[in-house]
Amino acid sequence: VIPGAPLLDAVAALGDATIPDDTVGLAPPVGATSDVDALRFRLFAGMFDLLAGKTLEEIPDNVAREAVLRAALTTIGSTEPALRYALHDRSSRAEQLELVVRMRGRQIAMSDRWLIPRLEEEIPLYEDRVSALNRAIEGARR
Amino acid sequence: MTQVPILRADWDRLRAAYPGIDDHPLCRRALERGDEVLASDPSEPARDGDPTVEQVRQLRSFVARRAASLAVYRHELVAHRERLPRAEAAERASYERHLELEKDLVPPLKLRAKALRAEIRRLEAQARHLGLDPEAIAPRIDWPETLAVDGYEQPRYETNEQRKRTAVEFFRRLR
Repeated sequence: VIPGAPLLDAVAALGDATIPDDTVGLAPPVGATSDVDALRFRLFAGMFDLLAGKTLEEIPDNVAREAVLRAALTTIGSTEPALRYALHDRSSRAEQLELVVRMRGRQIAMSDRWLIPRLEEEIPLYEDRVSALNRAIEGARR
Repeated sequence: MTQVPILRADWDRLRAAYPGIDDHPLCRRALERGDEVLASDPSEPARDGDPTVEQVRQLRSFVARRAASLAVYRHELVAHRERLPRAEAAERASYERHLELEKDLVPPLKLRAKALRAEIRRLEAQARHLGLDPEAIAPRIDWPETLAVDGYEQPRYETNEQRKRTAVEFFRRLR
């Protein structure tokens, strides 16, 4: 509808999950909630509203403004399922693997810190006992 | 003080649209607008002929809210991009360590302990047969305090090739 319009560009870019992951830390005003997720959602809502404001101020009539906003909605609607699926898929796979690592970590720790040291401690005792019994049996035979 | 991490790419897009405004006032302005958006009716305004100013305003808030949801998903996806590869690497490492323990380290120790325990019992029986009292021969073993590995059998590990051969052999016999 309007090439280069800040809102439409921003909305079209939302489907790109390959962007760099570096972040900026924004300080909310004093007294704002400390819930970072809620603040981030509020901030995004305000950001897109400001981008919409910038885009719409260039458009003279409400029909064209509505058309731009509907175009943005269409882009959002087509991007959302793929993004949600990707997020769900990656998060659940990561969670499952992390769970496996935790469970297996307990078994590894059990072997490393308890089972192997215990066996390594008992084997020399058994060997000493075998030697002592052999000596006693040899002696009894003589 | 609470900091809200935002992807630089997202923030730069807003800054480009509003040049000359510093981060702090721009952030405050975005949060104020965000409050207004979130206080508005969350349902999608219907198309109804030529839109009024109010209808455009409602639609604008609706778009901002939907875009914000999407931006949150994208933020999560990008900011935690390394989580899955990190989990995969940790799983692989733990699998290899577990396999090493269960295949190469624990079985030889258990088999050695099992063989020695059997040998002790055999020698104790032999000593009794010769009229000796095994309990009088030191060092003694406090059996209840030891690991009972007498029934231990070494686990069998098969390669994928071995497994394939076994399956093929199984179906060949069925024919």
